Amino acid sequence: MRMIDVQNLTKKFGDFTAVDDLTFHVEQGEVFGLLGPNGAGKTTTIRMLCCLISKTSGDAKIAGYEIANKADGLKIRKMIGLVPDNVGLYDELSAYENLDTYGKLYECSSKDRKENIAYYLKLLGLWDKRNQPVSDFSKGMKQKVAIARALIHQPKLLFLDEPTANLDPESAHVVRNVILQLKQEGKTIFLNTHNLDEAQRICDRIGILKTKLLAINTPEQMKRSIWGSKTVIQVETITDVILTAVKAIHSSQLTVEENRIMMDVSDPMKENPGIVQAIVNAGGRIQLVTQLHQGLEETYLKVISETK
Amino acid sequence: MRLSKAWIVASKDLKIFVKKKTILYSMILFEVFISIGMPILLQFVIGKAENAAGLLPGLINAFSFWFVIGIVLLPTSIASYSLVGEKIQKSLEPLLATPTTDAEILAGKALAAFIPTMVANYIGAVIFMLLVNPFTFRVFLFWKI
Repeated sequence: MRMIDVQNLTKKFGDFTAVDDLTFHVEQGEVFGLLGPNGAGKTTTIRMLCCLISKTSGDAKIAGYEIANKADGLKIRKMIGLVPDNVGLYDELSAYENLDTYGKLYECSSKDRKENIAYYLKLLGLWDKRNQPVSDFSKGMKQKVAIARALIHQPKLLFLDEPTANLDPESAHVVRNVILQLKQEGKTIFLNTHNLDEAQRICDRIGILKTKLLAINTPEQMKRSIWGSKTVIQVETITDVILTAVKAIHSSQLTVEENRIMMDVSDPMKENPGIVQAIVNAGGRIQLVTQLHQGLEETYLKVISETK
Repeated sequence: MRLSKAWIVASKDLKIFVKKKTILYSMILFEVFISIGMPILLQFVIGKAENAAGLLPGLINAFSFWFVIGIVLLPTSIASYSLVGEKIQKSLEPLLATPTTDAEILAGKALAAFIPTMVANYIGAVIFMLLVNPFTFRVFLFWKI
C-alpha cells in the first residue's frame, strides 16, 4: 500500500519556486529519506504533506487521503506524527504536561495517554525528569520529547525534519536508534536529513532534492547507478598475456596502476569469477580482489554539482 | 467546531499563564490597583471636596470605568502574548499538525484570554465594592445627619 503518493507537486511563494514538479511515492513500512542542500525545499515538502501549507499545483495523497481536501486534512493529521526542525515545545510546561496536552489533541483515551507517555519517556530515558519544565532540558532532551510527542498517538506515518541536526553525537545516536526501532516496528518514516551517513544507515530509499527531485533510489543502487561498479584485482606481476586474457573476456576499459588492474563491471557477482579465472589461466598470481565503492557523500555531491 | 478541543488549547494556555509569572503578576497588579487603589484614591478625593456626598456617586461611576478598561486591556495583552508566544517558541507548527481546526485553536485562545480576565475582574469588583463603603463611610454618615 502506498502511504505517500506525490504527483507533480509544486509550491511557489510569489515568483519563487520552492518545490518544482515533485513525483515520488513511499510504501507502507518504508523509511524514505529526502536529502538536499539548505533551501532545497525539503521542509516545504513536509509542510505540504502535513497539510500545514497549501500546494500550488499537483497532487499528493497520504494513505489515500488528498492533502488539498479540508475534510481529508483532519484525517491525515490524525494519522501522522511530525517532528519539525524546531522542536516547538511549551517551555513552561513539564515534559509530561507537553505530551499529555498533545495526547488529548490527538484524541487518545486517558489510559492510552498514560501508557504511551510512560512508554516513550522511559524509552528515551526521560521518565525521571518527566515533571521538570522543558526549559530546563538540553537540546537533545528537547528533541527526544518532540519525538515522543510525535509518537504519542501511535501514528502510522512519521515525518522527521532533520531530527539529529545540532545534537551532540551521543544524543544523535539515541535518536537514530529510536528511528531504527520504529523502523523495526513497521512504521512508515519520511526523513529529511543533511546527514548522509544517517540516511545510508536508516533509509530504505533516498531522494535527492534541489527544488526538483534529482535522483531517487536505494542508497546502494543510487551509488551504483551514478558511479557504476569497479572491480580491482591485485596481481603479483602484470604481464601482457594477463591483460590480453582479461580483455578477451571483458570489453570495458581497463586501468592499470602498479600491480592493480581496475575495470568497470555491471554485475560483479557474475563477471568477477570469469575475470579471476582468466588471470589465473594466464599465469597470474592473484593477491587481492576487491570492489571499489564510492560513498553516498560523493554520490550526493556529484548529483548536486551536475545541476549547477 | 468541537468545544472540547478548544478547551484543551485553553487549559494548556491557562497552565502556561499560571507558570509564567509576568502574566500572573501584571494581572494581579492591575486588579490590586483598581480594587484597592481606587477606594483609597476615592477617600482622598472626597476628603478634599466640599460637596462630597453629591460628588461620590459620580466618582464611583467614573472609577468603575477602569473595570471596563481592564476587561479590554487584559484579554488583549494575554491573547497577543499567547499567539506571539506560540510564534516565538515555534510551537504553532506542531499544534497545527494535530487534528485540530484553526477555529478550535482560536476559540481556545479566546477562552484562555477571557476566563482569567473575567475571574480577576469579578474578584476585583467585589473587593472594590467592599472597600468603597469603609473608605467613604464619613460621607454617608454626613449625608444621613
